[in-house]
Amino acid sequence: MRNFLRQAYYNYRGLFIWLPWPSYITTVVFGPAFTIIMFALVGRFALGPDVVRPYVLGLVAQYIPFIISASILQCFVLERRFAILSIVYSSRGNREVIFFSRQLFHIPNGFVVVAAGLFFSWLLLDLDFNQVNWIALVLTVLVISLSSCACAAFLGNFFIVFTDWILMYRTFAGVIIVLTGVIIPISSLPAPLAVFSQVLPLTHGLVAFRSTFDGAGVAAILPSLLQELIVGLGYTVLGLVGYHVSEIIAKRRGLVETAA
Amino acid sequence: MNDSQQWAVECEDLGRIYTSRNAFGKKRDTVALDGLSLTFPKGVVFGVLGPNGAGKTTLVRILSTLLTPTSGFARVAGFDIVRQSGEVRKHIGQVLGGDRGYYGRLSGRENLLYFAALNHMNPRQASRRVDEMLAKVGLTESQDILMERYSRGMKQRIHIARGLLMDPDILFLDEPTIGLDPFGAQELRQFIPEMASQGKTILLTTHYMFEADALCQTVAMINKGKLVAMGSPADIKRHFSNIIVIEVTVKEVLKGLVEDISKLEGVRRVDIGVDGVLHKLTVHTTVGIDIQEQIAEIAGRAGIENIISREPTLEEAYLNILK
Repeated sequence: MRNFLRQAYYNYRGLFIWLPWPSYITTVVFGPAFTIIMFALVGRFALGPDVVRPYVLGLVAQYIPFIISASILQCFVLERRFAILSIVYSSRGNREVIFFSRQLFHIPNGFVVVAAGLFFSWLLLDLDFNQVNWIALVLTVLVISLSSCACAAFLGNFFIVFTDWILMYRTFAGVIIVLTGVIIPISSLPAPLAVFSQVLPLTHGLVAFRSTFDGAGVAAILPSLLQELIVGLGYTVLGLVGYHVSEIIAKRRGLVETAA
Repeated sequence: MNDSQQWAVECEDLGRIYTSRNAFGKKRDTVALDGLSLTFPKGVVFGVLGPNGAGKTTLVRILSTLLTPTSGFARVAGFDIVRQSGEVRKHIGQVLGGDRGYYGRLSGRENLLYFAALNHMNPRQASRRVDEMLAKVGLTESQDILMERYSRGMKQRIHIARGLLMDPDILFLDEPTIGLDPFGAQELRQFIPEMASQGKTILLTTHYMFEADALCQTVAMINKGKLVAMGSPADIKRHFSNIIVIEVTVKEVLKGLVEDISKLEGVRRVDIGVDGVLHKLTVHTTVGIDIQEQIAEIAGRAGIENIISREPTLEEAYLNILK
């Protein structure tokens, strides 16, 4: 366990390029918060004050997979670019331990971005917390963070095809914002896309997230959380298999390192 | 002990082709290794020499289980590098060197602690081992400085510390002194006999002939992915290159002197150098053809100061073998 924690910690510190506090504050705290405020104000202007709350809650929740996917994907790509992957692949390291250690320290980023988004929404948009079930909310953020980590780690295996993590991240972010119910209700999507949305992270967790603000307790949101966890478990299995497969492919095709 | 276990490395018909495609999808194959076969026992320092693109780094990557061969097979410490790669990794360490292969935002010590954790070393043991390695490479006082601030030589020393961290039986050093200043390179070279005296097997790839000559018990020369010569440095100088070197020191290099010497039967190459105020002609001649007197006669026009015959250096042998 100590080795797992040590690997996770040093990998996070060594590769997460937003970790220095000025980058962290702007990218994980202020950036998302002010983007949420901006879109909420536009929505209020265009559609009236009634859309603000569900809109804001969706935007806040979407930043969990946004931030977590960006941070995990950059670590996968930079590990290869810095030639650390050569050392990992030629080590005795347990591949499952390495795979999970790439995710652990990114989980708290989900909490930070939600806290920042909700705080500024309360401050500038009068977001009402009177009915929030805090325990259920914290649990929901944790579950969405876990499923987002699993999905990002699955996507990270495609580093052997993509050398630019920003490309993967933007594609994933676009899918999330359109297909998980953040802005467009799932019921309004064409049938094939509505089915596809069921296997994306955040789709089920977002239902729970909004419900906690109406006072729903853990028991009430449990079905949604379980669905979100199952999605996360699916990506975990795919991600683990993908991690082994990507190692085999990278060694066969000579893709373990990129040019500096 | 079965046959495989006495050998550190065995390669048979090892091949590696890199396939790339251009913008129109047209495939292009690059042959990096072409039927390479070599074997060496445990406990030796084995050198691999060759020009750029010869396949040295490809060979090291295959033996380190970072690259899959496209044909042939190889065993390291008696284990197949493809089917038993996990077992191979328990016996090897590698020093790939260069300006990558570390976390720049972590200190030297933290990098080593990470690599120890990666290799499942017990945390308490890891702390002691990391202290030991930092002392060995002379970085105890700099251990808490971020690696992005280390000099090139310091980074290379961390690479060596990392390569030795798990006390491997077999160590792969891929051009470890490249890019280092003479002091740094000399310091690093001193590690090699020390590690060899501890019973480790070392495979060293290098461009520097004097390094291979001084440090390696056996040397393999490869070119375009093929083995062209293998043996002790003395064997290669004597038998593989098939040359004798005649050094002529003259007062001046007259016009036509080099051309006339080059035309003699058995002369393969003539190099001109400077020896103080005099000039030195280094003539590579084929073994068995005695032309020293003829060379002396021609060089006499320029005023001979000295003429000697000697065995080639490893570099001279290398140039003739790869010509």
